[in-house]
Amino acid sequence: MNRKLKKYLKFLYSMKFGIGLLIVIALLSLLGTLIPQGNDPLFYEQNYSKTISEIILTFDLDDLYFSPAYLFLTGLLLINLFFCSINRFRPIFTKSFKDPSLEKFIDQKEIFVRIRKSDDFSSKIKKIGFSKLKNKKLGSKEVYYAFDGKIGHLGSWLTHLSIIIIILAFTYGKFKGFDEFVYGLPGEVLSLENEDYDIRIDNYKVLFRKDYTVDQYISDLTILDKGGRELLSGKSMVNQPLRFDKFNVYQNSTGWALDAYLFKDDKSYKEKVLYNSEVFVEDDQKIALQLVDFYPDFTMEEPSKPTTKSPFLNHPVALYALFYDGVRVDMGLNHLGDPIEYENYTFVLKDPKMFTLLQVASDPARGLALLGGLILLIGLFLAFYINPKTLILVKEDTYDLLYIGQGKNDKAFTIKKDKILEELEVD
Amino acid sequence: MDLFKVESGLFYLALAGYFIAMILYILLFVNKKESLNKRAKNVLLVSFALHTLALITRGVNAGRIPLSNQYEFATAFAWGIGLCFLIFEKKFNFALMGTFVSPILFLVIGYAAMTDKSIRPIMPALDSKWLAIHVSLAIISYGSFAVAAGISAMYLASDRIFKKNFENLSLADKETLDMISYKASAFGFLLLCLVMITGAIWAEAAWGRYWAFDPKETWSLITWIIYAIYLHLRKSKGLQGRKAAIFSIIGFASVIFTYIGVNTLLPSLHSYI
Repeated sequence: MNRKLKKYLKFLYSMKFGIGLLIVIALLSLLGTLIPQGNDPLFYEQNYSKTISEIILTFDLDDLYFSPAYLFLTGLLLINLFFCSINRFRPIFTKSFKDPSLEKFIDQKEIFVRIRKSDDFSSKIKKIGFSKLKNKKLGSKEVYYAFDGKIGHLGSWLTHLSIIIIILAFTYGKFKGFDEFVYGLPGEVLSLENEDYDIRIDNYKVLFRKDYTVDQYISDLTILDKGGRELLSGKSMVNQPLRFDKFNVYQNSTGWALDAYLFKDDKSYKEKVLYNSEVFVEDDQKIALQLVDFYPDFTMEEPSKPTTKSPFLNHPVALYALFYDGVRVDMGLNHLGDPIEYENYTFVLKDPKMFTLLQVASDPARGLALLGGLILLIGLFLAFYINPKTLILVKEDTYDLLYIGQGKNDKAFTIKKDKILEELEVD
Repeated sequence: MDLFKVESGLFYLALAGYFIAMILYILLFVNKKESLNKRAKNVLLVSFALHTLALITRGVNAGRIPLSNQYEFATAFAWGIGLCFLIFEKKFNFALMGTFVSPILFLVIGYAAMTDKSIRPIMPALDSKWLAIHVSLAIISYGSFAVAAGISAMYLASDRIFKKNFENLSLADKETLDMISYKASAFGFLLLCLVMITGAIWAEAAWGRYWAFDPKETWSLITWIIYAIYLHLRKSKGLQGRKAAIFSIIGFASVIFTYIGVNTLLPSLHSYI
C-alpha cells in the first residue's frame, strides 16, 4: 500500500482524529440547541435576518442533528472507533486474558528491588490487592507471581465498542423503525399507516385528583389484524405503553371532540365528529366551522379570557370560528345545542366527549442500544476501577527480588506500594 | 403540624448553616487557623443534617420522592454536593477543600432558595420510578463533578496557597489534588452515563423515543463529550495537572449550564427540572 495512503488511514483511526471529531460534534450540537429545530422555513425567515435565515436553511441547521454534515461527522467517528477497535483488538485481548511472559520480566533486572525476607509478606501485599500468588520454577530460581486485574485492559476497548453499538442502534432504529400518531373515541377502530394492524379503542378515561390535575390517562385498547382477529388487549397509560411485538402504543395526549351537525336550508346536510382544532368543511368548501377550543365547565371569571372551572361537563361551551367562501365571518362562544347560523347554513354542536391521542412507535434496535449502554458501563467500570497489577517475587538465598507494577498509574496504589517497599527494601 | 413550614424552616436553617460554613472556610484560608477548619466542618455537617431533614419532610409532605421540579432538583443537587464533599473530605481528610467546594454548594442552594417552593401535583409523565432513579443519580453525579471542580480550582490556586504558611494544617500536595479531582470526575462520569441510560429508558416509556436531541439531552451529551475527552486523554496520554484541572472546571460549567442554563434559556421537555 502506498505510504501516503497508509498515513492517511492511520490518521483516520488515530485518537487525535477521534477527539477532534468529538469536539466538532460537541460544537455543532451546541449550535443545535441555540437554533430552534424542526420548524417551518417561514419561522426562520420571520425570526432571523435574511442572511442568517438563509444560512440556517442552506446548511440544514433547522434539522441539524439529521443534516448531512452532522451525519457525516458521526459516520467518521464511527469509522474512527471501528478501525481503532479492530487495530487494538488483538493486543488488548491478549493483555486482558493472557499472562505476560514471566521470563521477560525476570530478564529486566533493573526493575526489581532487593527486599529482606519477611514473615508478614502475604499480609503486606494483600493491602495492595494481591491475595494469591502463583508459583513457578525458572531454572534454579523459585518465582512467585501474580498478574491480577488484567481484565482492566479491556475497559477502554469495551467503551469504544459500546459507542459504536449505540450509534449503529440509533441509526438502524431511525431507518427501520417508525413513529405515527392516531386519535379517536371509544369504539373506533384506527388504521395504522406503517403496519398492517388496526387498533380498537375499547375505552378511554382520565383520572383526576381532587384539585382537578390529571393523575393518569388510560386507554383500553385491542390490537387487531386486518381480518379483525383480536391479537392483544391491554391498557396504554402515560409511562406504561402497551407493548406489542411489532410496535408499542404510547398514551400521548387528549382533547375534546363534539358531534357536529350541518343543516342546509333547514334540512340535515352532513354530520361528523369534530375534534379540537379541526375544521368541518362542507358544500364544496363554501362553509366551514372550526372548533377552536372547548370549555367543559365554562366561566368568564377573567374578563376576555374564557376558561374552565373543572374538567367535568357542568357547563360545556365551545369556542368556534365560522368561514364562508374562505373568509372568516364569525367567531364566538357556543353553548352546546344552540344553533350557529350563517346565510342558509346552520351548525349544531352536541355531545362532547374526550378523545385519546396515541403514539404508535417501533424501534427494532431499542434493545441493542440498551445493550450498548450496559457495555459502556462495564467498560468504564473496568477502565476506572480495575487496575492491572503485576507482582513478581524471585526467591534468592539471602534476599529476595521484588517487582510490583501497575497498568493505570493509580496514585493511591503507588503510595501503598512505596510504603511496602520502604518497609521491606534493603538499603 | 404544617409540614411545609417545618420544611421551609429546616431549609433556611441549612442555607444559613452552609453560608456560615463557607465564611468559616474562607476565614480558614485567610487566617490559617486549624480551629476554624474543625468549626467549619462541624457547621457544615449540622447544616447537611438539617438539609437532609428538610428533604425528608418535603418527601413526606408531597407523598413522593421530592425530585420533580426546579426547586426540588436544585435543593437535592446542593445536597448531593454536600454528600460528595463530606465523603471525599472524610476519605482524603485535608484542610481547605471546603474553601473551594462550599461556595459552589452555597450558590446552588442559593439558586434553590430563589425558585418556587410550592408543592404541586406532578404530571403523569413524571410519575415514574425511572425518574426517581434518573434524578437521584444525577444529583450524585453532579455533586461529584462539583467536588472535582472545587478541587481543580484549588489545584490551580495551589501555588499561591502553598506559598503561604499554613501551620498545623494538613494540606494535600498538588499530585494528590490532581488525583482526587480525577477520582471525583471519573466517578461522576460513570454516574453520568447511568443518568443518561436511565433517562433514555424513562423517555422511551413516556415519549416513545429514548433520544430526541432535546436541548437538555444534547447538553448532557456535550457534558459527556467534555469529560470523555478529559478522561480519555488522562488514561491514554497521561494528561494531568493544570490542563486536567481546566478540563474539570469546563466540564462543571457545562453541568451547570445543562441544569440551569437549559431550563432558563432554552425550550426543553425537561424545563420542569
